[in-house]
Amino acid sequence: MMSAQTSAIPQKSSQRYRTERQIAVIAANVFLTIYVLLALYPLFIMFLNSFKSDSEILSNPSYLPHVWTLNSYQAIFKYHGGLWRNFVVSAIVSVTSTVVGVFLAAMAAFAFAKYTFKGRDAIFAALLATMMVPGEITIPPLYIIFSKLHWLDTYQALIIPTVTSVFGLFMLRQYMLSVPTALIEAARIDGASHWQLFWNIMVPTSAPAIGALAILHFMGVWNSYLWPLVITTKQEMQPILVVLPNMTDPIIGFLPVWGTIMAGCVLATLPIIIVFIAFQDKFMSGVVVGAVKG
Amino acid sequence: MDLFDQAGIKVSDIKTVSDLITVGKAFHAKFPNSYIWNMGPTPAGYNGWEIMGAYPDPRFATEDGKYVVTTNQCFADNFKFHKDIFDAKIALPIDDWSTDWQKGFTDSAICGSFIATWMKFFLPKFVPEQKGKWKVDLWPVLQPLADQRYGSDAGGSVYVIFKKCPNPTLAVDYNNKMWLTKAGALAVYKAVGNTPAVKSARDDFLSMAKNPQRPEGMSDDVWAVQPANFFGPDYFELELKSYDYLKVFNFDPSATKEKPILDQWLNKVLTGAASISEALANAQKDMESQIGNPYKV
Amino acid sequence: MGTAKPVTTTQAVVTLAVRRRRIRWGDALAPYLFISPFILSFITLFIGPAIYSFVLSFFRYKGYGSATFLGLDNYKAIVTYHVFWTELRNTIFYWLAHVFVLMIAAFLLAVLVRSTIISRKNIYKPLIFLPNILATVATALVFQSLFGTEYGVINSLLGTKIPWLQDYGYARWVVVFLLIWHGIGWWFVIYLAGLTTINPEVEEAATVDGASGWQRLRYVTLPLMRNTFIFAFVIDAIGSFRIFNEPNVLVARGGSLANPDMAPLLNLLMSDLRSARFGSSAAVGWILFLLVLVVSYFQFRIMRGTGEEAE
Repeated sequence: MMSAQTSAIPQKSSQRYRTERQIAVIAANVFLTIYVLLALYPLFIMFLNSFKSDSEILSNPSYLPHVWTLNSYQAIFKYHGGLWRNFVVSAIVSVTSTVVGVFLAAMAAFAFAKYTFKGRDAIFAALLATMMVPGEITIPPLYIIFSKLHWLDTYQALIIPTVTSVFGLFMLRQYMLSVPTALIEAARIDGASHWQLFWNIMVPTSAPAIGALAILHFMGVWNSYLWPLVITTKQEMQPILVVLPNMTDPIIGFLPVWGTIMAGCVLATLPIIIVFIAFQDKFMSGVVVGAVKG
Repeated sequence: MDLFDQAGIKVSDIKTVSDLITVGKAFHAKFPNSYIWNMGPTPAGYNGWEIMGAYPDPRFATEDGKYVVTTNQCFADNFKFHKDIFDAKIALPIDDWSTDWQKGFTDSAICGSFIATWMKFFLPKFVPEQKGKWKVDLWPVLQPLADQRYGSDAGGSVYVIFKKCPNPTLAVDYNNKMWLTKAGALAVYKAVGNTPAVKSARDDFLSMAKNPQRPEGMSDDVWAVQPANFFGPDYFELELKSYDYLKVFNFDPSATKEKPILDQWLNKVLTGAASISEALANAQKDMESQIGNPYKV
Repeated sequence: MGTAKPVTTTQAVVTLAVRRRRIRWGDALAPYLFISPFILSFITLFIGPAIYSFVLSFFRYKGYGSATFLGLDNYKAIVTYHVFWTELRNTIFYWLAHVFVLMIAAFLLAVLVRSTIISRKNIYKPLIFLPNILATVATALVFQSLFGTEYGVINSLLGTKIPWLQDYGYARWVVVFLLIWHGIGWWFVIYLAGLTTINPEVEEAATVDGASGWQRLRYVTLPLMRNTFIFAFVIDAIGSFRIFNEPNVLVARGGSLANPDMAPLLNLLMSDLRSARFGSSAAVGWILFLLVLVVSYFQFRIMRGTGEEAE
């Protein structure tokens, strides 16, 4: 297809082309490197500032510490009974929500993808439509309900509303649609129960998508702010990211303790970064699966 | 070496707000990088209580639920006080609690504060090296209309004890003893350093404050920044004298909703987005529409 | 399943047994069992509360005692409250001021990284995505240091003393910057994936026809990415109306709500919630939903419309 048209293209000398291309390559790489360094600079600063004293952060917020200190990290353990408790809350809430949420979504996605049943398409379309409704609409009623159940400041109140995600359902169904039905049929012939079809066949096969969803879901719950802010009043029960903006001097109050706050931010970000480095591809494919073919 | 002496200023000369501004300007003229106060466009608003508390019957609404923000002089003068000072540029335009606030003290850009009672905790923390360099005085009586001196940060606390809580009588008893008896007040002072408001505790408190005993287990640096060591013993006499002017603002049950509205309109006055009368009228309108009758919660 | 298969006796027995088991279990029931946990949770945790919220929005209720029916009064009070309009303006500002820069930048980055000029794609891709995994709360806290008036790095680089976070005229741009900074990674990945689905032969054909890089981009790539763009803009708009963390954590001191001049619409929901004005709080939520619907509808119309013209 190409050969017949060659003569119509104005030809640059191949040497000039190569030089131009080399310049383009270098320029592009330089540009991207600078971009990445600038984009990651705040992360870098967060890290550096966690090793500064509270007062140094105010006078020297943007460069290397003049005096490196571990005081802020120690303060995390001493502050108001120990901020590590808030990390535990974050961990319990995020992990439980992820396990339950992914499980619910996977089961439902399996049915929507591989079964035909009455109302299937209508229900799915209705679920998709609800994605337009801002979740915050449920905040006042859920607050009233949880309050009357005396569930303020409890794990269940933190976890339960985060569990259902139509996005997750959509994402998993999308993936499961592409799993060959023959696989399932063969298992059915071999006498598998429906549960076995799900648990022993579909789940392992969908592991990439399930993994991706788990990571995204975990990250979403770990990083969340508004709902925990609404439903908790006691500092011990607040996830770490909700406590951080609020941290003030433990003795006199009011003054933000920037060193401790930065150290807390670093520790709160570390798990996500580690998971990211280990599972980069899953992370990014998760973002994509729900989106591109949408 | 006293900065105010160098600028030729005597605090006792200040009789009106204009005097205050003249003094501020003289100070800033002598020390171009310093100011006698700080006030950004979004002041925290607690200084407002210091102004309004000096007026007779300061309140947002009368007890039948009608708002009086436009008619009660304390509000207009509160706004005017802030606006005059802000416009005169005698205050470093940085808000309290911003990230630059502490640096303002370390750099001696802020050389004064109009609210000493709890600055006594923060100042030693901000600038321990300025120990012994700060003095305190009572607010001057600034305006003829006011009942008394300004300066009462009538925050106050209202303790609400629910009838249905596990030990209501015990709670009431405990609070009474802690805040309203001499023994309780002194115990609080020893524990956290709050000056007792109870008059019966004054003499004991003064002798304790003038001969400060280092609490067990307190480290050197923390001890060095205790108010007694930072300000010197005279501080407490003046502080106790200021308690004679303690005034309670007649808060209504909806105070926590009223204050943000007031603060928002103060911000608009300072940035020039509204005149004082507009701001008062609008603040009252907002309170009426958003709160209604503040006594009917 | 009616294909005739040569079966041995054992297989035949197994197949028969399996069929019987299946019929007993009810094939018809299985999918409903699979979807019911999800559906039930969804109804209990979303549909139910949403309906409750809708009903609540017509009442005045403080969480205890009785609820007074108000008709449309909550809604009327909200749309006549100047704070509502300020916060709506802020929300729309945050949305429009960030979305175009965000989308263009993310797309161009994707084009660049995908092109043959860049070979180390697998290094750049995760690094560009990285800012998106950081919590906006943590980032906003770091930004408070970076944008400090006296000592922030931005001011020291520019040699100025701009009160980035104290003057709301500037602070809102810091919020926009934060939104762009945080969002680029996400949309970059999506655009990159979208670009990868474009058949390279189509692009080759364009090159052969004499199209320059930019022309290729404009006449071949962009139209093929149209659906991805529509999706991106609509999703980002919905997210933008729900903005909460960035303005509040950046500007307000410790857990309190930002001044209305900076605040997004959700702040009104939150302040009503904190004042125990639950009916009004619920009404704000529904007004928000209405706005999202209207905005999405118009976006679809506009973007679909231009697409049809181009064709």
